Amino acid sequence: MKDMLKRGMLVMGITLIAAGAAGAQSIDTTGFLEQMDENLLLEDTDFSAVTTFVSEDPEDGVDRQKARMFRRDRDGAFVVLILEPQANRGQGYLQVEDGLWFYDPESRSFSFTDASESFQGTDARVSDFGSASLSEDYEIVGAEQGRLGDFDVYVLDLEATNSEVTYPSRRVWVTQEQLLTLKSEDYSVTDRLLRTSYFPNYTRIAGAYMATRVILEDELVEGRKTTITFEDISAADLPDNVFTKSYVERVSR
Amino acid sequence: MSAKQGNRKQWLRVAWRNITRQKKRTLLLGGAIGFAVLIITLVNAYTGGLVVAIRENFTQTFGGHVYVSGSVVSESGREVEIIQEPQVLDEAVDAAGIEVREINYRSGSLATLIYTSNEVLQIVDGVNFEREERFREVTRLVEGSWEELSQPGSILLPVSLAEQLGITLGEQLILSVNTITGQRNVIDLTLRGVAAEVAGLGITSAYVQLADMNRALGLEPGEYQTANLYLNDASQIDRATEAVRAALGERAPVEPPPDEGDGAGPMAMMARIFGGGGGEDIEETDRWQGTRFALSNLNDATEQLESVIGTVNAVAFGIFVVLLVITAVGITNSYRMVMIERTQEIGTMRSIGVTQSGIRWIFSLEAILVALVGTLAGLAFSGVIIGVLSAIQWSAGTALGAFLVQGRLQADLALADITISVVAILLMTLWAVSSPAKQAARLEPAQALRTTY
Repeated sequence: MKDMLKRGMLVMGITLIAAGAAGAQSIDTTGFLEQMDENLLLEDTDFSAVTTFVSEDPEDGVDRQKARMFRRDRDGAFVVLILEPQANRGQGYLQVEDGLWFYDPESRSFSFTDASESFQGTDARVSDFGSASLSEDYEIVGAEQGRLGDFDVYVLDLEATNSEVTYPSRRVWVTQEQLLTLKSEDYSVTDRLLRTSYFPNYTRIAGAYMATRVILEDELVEGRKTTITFEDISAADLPDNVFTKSYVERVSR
Repeated sequence: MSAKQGNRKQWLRVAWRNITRQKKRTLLLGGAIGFAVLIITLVNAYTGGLVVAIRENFTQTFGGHVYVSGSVVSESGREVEIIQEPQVLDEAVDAAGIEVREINYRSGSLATLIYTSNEVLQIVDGVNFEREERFREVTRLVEGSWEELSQPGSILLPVSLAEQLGITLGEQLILSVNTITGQRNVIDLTLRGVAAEVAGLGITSAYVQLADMNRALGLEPGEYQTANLYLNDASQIDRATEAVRAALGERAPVEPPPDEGDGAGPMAMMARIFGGGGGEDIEETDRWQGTRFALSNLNDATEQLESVIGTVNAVAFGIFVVLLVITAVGITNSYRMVMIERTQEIGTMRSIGVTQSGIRWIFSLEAILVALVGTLAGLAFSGVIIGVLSAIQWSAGTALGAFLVQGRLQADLALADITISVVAILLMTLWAVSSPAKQAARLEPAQALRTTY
């Protein structure tokens, strides 16, 4: 009996060491970030969708917001126009070459805003709406294999290469097959976990992958999360004037 | 004593006797004048008090009279709020030859304070609690102590904010903020002080140690975003600002003054003091090397408000004049009645040798005495009201918040304003009484003696 126990423990020990070695084995991550960006990039077409935000807050209950979104990755431009609630209807965000602007229809003025600001009080950041630029902003400082749900994944530790990205470090779970992000943990400068994001659903459009549902969990306030869903997704070309201040102003009336 | 002087003394006595024998009328006329004086005095006192309170609260909130901020251009061309060459500013302040009581270095930003599931968006200022003497003087701690607040990781909250968050002394909260370059950051802080509301500006800051705020904003411990100069003589604000601007201009790039064409404008300047500036992409041709300094001062911050208060005072003076005109009509009518009532008396006085000018003097003196009594009563009542209201300790959360300094209602009455009011009343009274006085003086003595009503 004693021998059996010893043997069992030995087998378990060897199994654990082997599993650890497999997880920690060096992974060639060259080109990973570029591939991850490319997965999401609509190089030759534009993108538009209707986005719904459902925020759950332990204090304030459930809040629902709706916005229309336009994106042109080749110019790094996007427009987000608030449709609901009625009180915020007409507000808009415009990312163009000269910066990120917020439009307030009450004062009829644009003001400069920061990409790291919260989007309309949700757990989304304005920077979440831009095209992916992981390869520009981050480098991989650690990688291991793992499993997330039914998927074999790489767990990548990313560190910002400049001091202007919203999150200075991130840990992302990407599928081994297509390098699609399934989960992301975003950390502060002081290395505190701020947000965990889940990307359970993707769709393909014009050769790119688009997350159709994103769940953002606030790690600072327990029980707070925002679920974002994308509907009416289209890759049809948009007129150039969509990505201008005058358009945002006009449609906000 | 000359005969003329003797006559005037006699007329004064007669005038005084007349106003005391008609007590009800004197009370009504004097009361009307007193009411007008009361209104204009209180309006002047409290609009003046509002300016005093706002200036004092601004000075307390920002820790000085002259505000110097700075910004640099990051590698990617974004404007970042920071004074990276503090020695340049120190040299410039020395070279400016101004008398400075304190220089307070601060960093600040709009941040989110999170306690359990409660969160508040709040201006948070980084202050050196040990160094800022004046800050400690004007901040009334309700709970906690300055010794405890001097520890790293401490936060000082106003009472209302602590209540809103539901946090008590010794508990921890999270400060969530963007660094100066736009990265998300959080630090843990412990509530070690609760203060009575500091300012009635609608601005309620939370305060942390400068080093902690710097850590949250991604600044080095010795760096800061604004330097606020506390002058020995607050009347020299504009001169001191210009002197520092000129001295800085010889050493580093400096933004044009807020009121000049290329200047950032007073509101943008104020935003910087709150830590709300920066972040814009700067065109390649507009970029600068090192720290570009920007200056503003208390006068820039309160200029628009003082202009509004000037308008309020002008409107109040207009209302005062209207009240005086109504009172003047009352005085004219009253003294017409007086003339009719005293026709026989005037005839008797004229018969025993009182001249026409003597009668005019008696009427005028009588009206002036009523006006003076009314004015003094109005001023006395104003004084009592101001005294009582100033003695009360008000809560900054009330509608009176903007008028309060350290919870006390501020009243500021200039001697010139009182003088203008008194002179206006006396002139108006003389004008109002001139017509009935002239009519009374012109009465024929014999006819007046025969007249009966």
